[in-house]
Amino acid sequence: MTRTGATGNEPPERLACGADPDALLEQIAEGRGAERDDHQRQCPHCQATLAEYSRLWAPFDELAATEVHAPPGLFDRALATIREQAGPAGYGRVADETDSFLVAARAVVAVAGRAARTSAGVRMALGALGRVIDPTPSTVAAGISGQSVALELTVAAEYGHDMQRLAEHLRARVAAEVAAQTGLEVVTVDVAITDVFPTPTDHDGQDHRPM
Amino acid sequence: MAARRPGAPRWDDAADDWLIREATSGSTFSGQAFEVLLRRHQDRIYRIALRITGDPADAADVAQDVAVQLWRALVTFTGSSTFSTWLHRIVINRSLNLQRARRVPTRGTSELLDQDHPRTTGPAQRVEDAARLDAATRSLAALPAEQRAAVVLCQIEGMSYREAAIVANISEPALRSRLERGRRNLLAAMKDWT
Repeated sequence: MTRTGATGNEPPERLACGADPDALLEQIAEGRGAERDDHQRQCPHCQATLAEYSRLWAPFDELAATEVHAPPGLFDRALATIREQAGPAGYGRVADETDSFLVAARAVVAVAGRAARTSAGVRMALGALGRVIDPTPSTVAAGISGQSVALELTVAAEYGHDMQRLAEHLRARVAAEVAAQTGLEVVTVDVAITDVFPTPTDHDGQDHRPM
Repeated sequence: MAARRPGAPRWDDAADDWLIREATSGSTFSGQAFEVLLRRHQDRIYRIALRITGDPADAADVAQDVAVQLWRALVTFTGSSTFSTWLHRIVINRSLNLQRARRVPTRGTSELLDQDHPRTTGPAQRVEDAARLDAATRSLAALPAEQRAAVVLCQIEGMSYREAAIVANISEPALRSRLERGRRNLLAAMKDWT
């Protein structure tokens, strides 16, 4: 068996057969341990070293394969600061005969954006407040006023979808989700399809559509 | 080329490009575009920080720091290749800087001590497996910084040597040299542990 320098900086001695242990370690680390060449198929030194390296390296393959998820809420503090700078301001008020509560505009656009992103035919989408037109004084107000909200969507669609039908579907779905989750009345949903992407596929040919 | 990490999602350049454009447009969509971009990469950011620091609390600190840095620097990005390179580079550098600032005592990888080996008896295979994985985590975190970055990029993140060299801002032969030494050190550490 080869010896490895204590610091890792010293190249290990060659095997008795002349093979370079670093090359064998690379073979294992790259997942090519089973791909033996003619020499390795005959050589007991190489076979023993590959087996030993495979055993010792296995925990690192396992480490690489272990799924790691960010803890819930990890970015909440950073995002709260950013939302204050770049998020929509204002509140909607949902009222019935006895009670009322406020809904932040940023919550409304978050619901709208997510509803759009999870719709079929959509690769990516974002929501924002639109503009509410008040016909009485003929003014244009911010996108959230009282119990009414106007929304805008910007969308990157999947290639191959009927864009008119996609826009209609998005209007209906986003309005329904926002109404159901916030209680606000959605007066308009303006949809802008700004790009079209082919469905992403990996080398395995599978659909890897992001959520 | 190192094998791509099993189960690793591919980098969706087109969607990231689109989000970066929206985030930097100064439009009413900018804030949400940034948030979506950050959430798409949050696991990647945290995973790299965790593998470099070896400590969940440190990894969380690094990730939050990266989020703020990303927001401030996003305006300078011109495309997803710049973004992916920058993201990996900033996470690795912030992770290494944090450890340097805290002067974390790192043992040599060949110095995993006897007490690191759990005193388990009987057929407690799961305990043994967990201990082996923990030893691997700690031996990775104890590698010299340059070797650790090379190992994390190629062996954990599944980057090609060329991609990792660009992130590390060194030549491909230099990257391969660091990786080779890193692998050798890790092997020695695990040999001592078993």
